[in-house]
Amino acid sequence: MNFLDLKFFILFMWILVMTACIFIIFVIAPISKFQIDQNEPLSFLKTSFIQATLAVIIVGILIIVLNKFKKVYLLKKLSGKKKS
Amino acid sequence: MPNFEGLVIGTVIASIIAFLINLILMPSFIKFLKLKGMVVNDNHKPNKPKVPRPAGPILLLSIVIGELILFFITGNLEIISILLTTSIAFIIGIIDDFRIMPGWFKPGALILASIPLIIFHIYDNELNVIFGSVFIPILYIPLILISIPLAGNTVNSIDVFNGVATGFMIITMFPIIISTFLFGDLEILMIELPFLAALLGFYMFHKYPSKIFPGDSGTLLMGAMYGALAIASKSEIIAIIALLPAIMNSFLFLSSVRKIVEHRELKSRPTILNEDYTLQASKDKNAPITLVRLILLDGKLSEREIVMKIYKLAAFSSSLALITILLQFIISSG
Repeated sequence: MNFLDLKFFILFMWILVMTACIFIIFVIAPISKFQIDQNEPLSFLKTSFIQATLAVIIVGILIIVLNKFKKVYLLKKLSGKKKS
Repeated sequence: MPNFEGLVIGTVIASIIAFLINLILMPSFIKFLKLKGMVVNDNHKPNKPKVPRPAGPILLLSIVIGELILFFITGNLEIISILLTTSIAFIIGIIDDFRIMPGWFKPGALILASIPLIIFHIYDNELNVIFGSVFIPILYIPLILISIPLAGNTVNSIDVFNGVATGFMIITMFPIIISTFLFGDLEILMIELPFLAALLGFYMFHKYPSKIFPGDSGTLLMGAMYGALAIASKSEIIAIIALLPAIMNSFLFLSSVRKIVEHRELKSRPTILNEDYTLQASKDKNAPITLVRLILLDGKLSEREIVMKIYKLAAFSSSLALITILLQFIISSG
């Protein structure tokens, strides 16, 4: 599989998904452990809000990274086609 | 609830009936659609033959009857919830099949299809993210409201050539079934099998060269049911990975067009049909980037060759999903 293969694009997307999963488990999920009062609903909502914001930021970063990758991929693919 | 043996027999019967309904009723339905003039041109073939559309009603009927058999055996309300989601997606699709609706209609209206899953609380409060689970009782609700429109539209957008949507769904169902078998409930696994059988039955008519097209009603119900099953079986991430080629197609399209539009609204097409009925990538800078356009950058191909390439990509993403399942299995048992 070379860089210009579409499978490489899918493999890159898979790596991004797995990275996001690792980030969710090891960064976002443990935030609830730092919740001051475990039984207070407002505190629970605040923690959920922070976790949701972080999750949205991650999705945003993933889209930006994927967009950059798409541009590089298309550029290489088109220049490779012209050479051949 | 019957014993294990009874459940297995019930699932097998439900699956066979779902498969046979397509096989028996579809030929008559094709004749009926032709008689009523409900046909569209198959533009990628010589003489542009007329192909009936939509097959959604028979596909839905086969799924509903298969799943209702299971419901009468198990009494599992999750079946009703998934069927409601699938039926709402079908209604949205059938409206789009017969009326020209704006680009936002399908993703917007599909939010309604998510609601039965929330009302019946089909989801677990913990999201399975391969390396562990996250307790998100509140966040899960917006996640479902996004997931069903996303799954429905993603499958809808991949339905560009004969048999692609159905073949793609069949291939990507396997990781979901294996994930449910290893990590989910037996009752959800039972719901998945008649759906797969219905897809296989329909594929006999949708495969290249298509005798009938699914229409939006068919593709939206397939995507919505797939999404609902992924949520019910706690296989959301596995489903995302299996659907990567279709997600990639939607991402490429949206990032190049920068708005939600119907394909018919596009001024420039992503591919060009040659006189020998092969396709090549458009050179127009304003043409949207799609999965097929990227496939065709390597050179012109026939419709059948493009379909095979998309199946191979689906098999590749499903293999990645299987690797992910293996990873999850190692982590959870270790």
